[in-house]
Amino acid sequence: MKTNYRIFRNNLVLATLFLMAVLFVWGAGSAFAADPWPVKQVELINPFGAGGAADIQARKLAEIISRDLGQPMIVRNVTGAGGAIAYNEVNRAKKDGYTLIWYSGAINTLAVRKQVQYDYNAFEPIAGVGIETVSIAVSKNAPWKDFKEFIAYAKANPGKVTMGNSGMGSVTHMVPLALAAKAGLKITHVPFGQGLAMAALMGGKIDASSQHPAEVFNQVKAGEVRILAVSSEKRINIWPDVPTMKESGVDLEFDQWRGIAAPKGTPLNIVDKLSPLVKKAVESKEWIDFASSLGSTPRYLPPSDFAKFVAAVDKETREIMAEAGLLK
Amino acid sequence: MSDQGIFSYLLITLQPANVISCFVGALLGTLIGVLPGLGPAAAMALVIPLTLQLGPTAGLIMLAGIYYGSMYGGSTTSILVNVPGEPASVVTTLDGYQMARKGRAGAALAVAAIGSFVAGTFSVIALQFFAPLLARVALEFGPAEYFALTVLGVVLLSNLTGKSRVRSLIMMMAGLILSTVGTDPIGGLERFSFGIDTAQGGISFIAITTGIFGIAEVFELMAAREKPVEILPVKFRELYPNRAEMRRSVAPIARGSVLGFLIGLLPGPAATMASFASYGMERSISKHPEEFGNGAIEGVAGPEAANNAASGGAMIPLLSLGLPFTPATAVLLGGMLLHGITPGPFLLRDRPDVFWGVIGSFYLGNAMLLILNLPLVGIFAKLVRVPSRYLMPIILILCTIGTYGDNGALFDVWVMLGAGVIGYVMRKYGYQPAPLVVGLVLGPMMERSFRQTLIISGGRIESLWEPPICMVIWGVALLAILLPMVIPPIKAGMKGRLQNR
Repeated sequence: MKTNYRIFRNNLVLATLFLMAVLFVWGAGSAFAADPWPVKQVELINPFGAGGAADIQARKLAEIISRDLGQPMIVRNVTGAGGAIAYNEVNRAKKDGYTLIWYSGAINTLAVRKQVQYDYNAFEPIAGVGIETVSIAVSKNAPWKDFKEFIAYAKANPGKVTMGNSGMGSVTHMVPLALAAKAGLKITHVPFGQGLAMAALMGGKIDASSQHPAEVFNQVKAGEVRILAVSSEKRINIWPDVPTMKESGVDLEFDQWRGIAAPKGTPLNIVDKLSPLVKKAVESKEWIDFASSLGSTPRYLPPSDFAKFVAAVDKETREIMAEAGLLK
Repeated sequence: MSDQGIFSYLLITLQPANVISCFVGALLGTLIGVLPGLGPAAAMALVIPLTLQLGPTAGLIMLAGIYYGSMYGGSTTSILVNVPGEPASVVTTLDGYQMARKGRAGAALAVAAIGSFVAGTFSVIALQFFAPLLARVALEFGPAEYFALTVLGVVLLSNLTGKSRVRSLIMMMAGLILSTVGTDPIGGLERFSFGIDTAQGGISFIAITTGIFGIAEVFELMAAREKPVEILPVKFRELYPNRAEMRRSVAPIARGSVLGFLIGLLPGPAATMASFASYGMERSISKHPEEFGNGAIEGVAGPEAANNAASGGAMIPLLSLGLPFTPATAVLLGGMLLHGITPGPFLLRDRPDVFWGVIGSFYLGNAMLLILNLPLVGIFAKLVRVPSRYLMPIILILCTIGTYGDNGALFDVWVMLGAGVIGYVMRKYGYQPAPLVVGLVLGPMMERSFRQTLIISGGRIESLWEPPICMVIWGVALLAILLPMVIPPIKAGMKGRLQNR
């Protein structure tokens, strides 16, 4: 009888604790706010996975900004759904300047594809940080000498050229889409995950791959792959010999851009305080050296110019998507 | 390079700063492995800013230490309380936890540690001597080959636990179906997320495994009518594996090391696949398969060796080609880039000090982990004797924190609790959770590689089996299906003939 009672008591204690856990989960969730900004650490939400080019740039920049901010700026990765989850979180966050987004072209494609219920207007631009070009990589044994030959081949063999990218709707997918439209080609787009497009290219499973320089410069250095062209306005520092698409006869200029933004409605004094700090960090020699080594081009934009820039990219993205029949 | 050169570079590992980094990394890794939820990739990303102060060699040694250290710790909670600390240790719950209930927790923990040490050391030797060669082999595998491999995985692992094949298959299919929740990896469209934000990113693997194993176990004990099994106090000598257990572990550890290392070369959740594959192999070649699931030490030794060897194998594409195939090696690549180190074929030429320093730290770190883990076995094994009214609430809290911490999403905690309820019901009706986990792991890779293959070939279905490597894999899968159907009648026939004579 005594043992029975003890077992009953044990089970009762367990059941109670389980109930408490459930209630805890139910009730958890809110934080507190305080003035003047910043009195606690500032979170920079990164929609991309840990270790990628976007991530290490966010971490490096946050580290430099933290030195002047007075509080640490912490990078947190919120991945999934092409960045939608991260944008949703920041969109819903308190407008107190403690939750920022590592802003990039993902907002344009997410909005155009209706994967989020808002667009760039839902965010308060703080500072543009720079642009990252998109490069067209081919295997070292590829038959094409330069970009013109590649285009000519793709034109003669519609749909035959397979080109990897790092995901549907990413900027590395936008560039081949726009390229196909502008040059009158038919390319087969193959979406891959991190690192895997390069492996498929080197293993001869695909003909070409559309990549940011940071994802491919190791392999270029090793002579495994060649770069036919980059999508930016000018050639980039790490590859002075690689022509732009414009130089190769395709009138296309489209880059990934990066910056920092807050939810719309964040007090302007926070924007005004942070933007000059970002400017100082972006224009520091440490950042310029680091970003250039990854093939990025540092370029600070103040809030107003940054807003105009993002709006222009949004329009362009819509056009590319409409042409490719991906509008919803 | 002369041997003398390599030797002097390996000595870099023994510089005090590097030894300390190695120790800190290995210790952190063990802790991360023990705690459910926080995985090596997230932990490494947190530590990156710290490593910047340490300089490239010491910094990368610490990051690598966290990476392989987590594979050591993962088995601990699997064995003690049926909660996998890492996805790669899910399969260890099957026999490890049964051993613990029979009072052999110490033996299971010790064998897991020894197996991890042997496999870790084996994989670094293989890494040191064959890296460039194996990296080329890994490149031969493209989408078509990966798809064939996942099919082989489904076929071979569908009867993982050897109970009912039909029920196993049902669970495996449920896992595959669950893996389709969230954004479609190719088309980018949302599927089955019902407007829930977190579900857009897919159902959390950690939430499902913690729920279906850990929470279900808590429910089981809550509902237990009779007193939980009394575990007799063990003498110190009995804490460690006896001679028979050691003898039975040798071959599984050796096989697990080789198998895990080879699977580690491939993209995807290599360590998890390696541990499942090793378990499946041990059970199918064992002379007493009926012991599996009831505390067979081979079921702990093989998988734990395999997941450590896989983490060594995954370093090969990173170090020799500069390509990260797994989330954890992607963070390692990020760390290298932040330090201005370029992994790839020229790493050895440009920065031999970093290359050999890190390789050397693998040897050192594995030895440290063994020394660190063996004394812990005694402490951990005593945990099993803590009355469940104290232990179970702690487990509940750890599971909740771990699941919440993975993505910082409360939805995941609900998934965990729901999976706990379902897991409990499944147990009552004799459905095994392990095949469901296999489905969940294989699903995304299967779908993505299938569709990539078809996109590349322009929709030609033949492209799925035309490449030579694919033909071999499909052949093996076909044999695996046909042999069990063909062999028993033949055997019976031969027996009959013998008796007629």
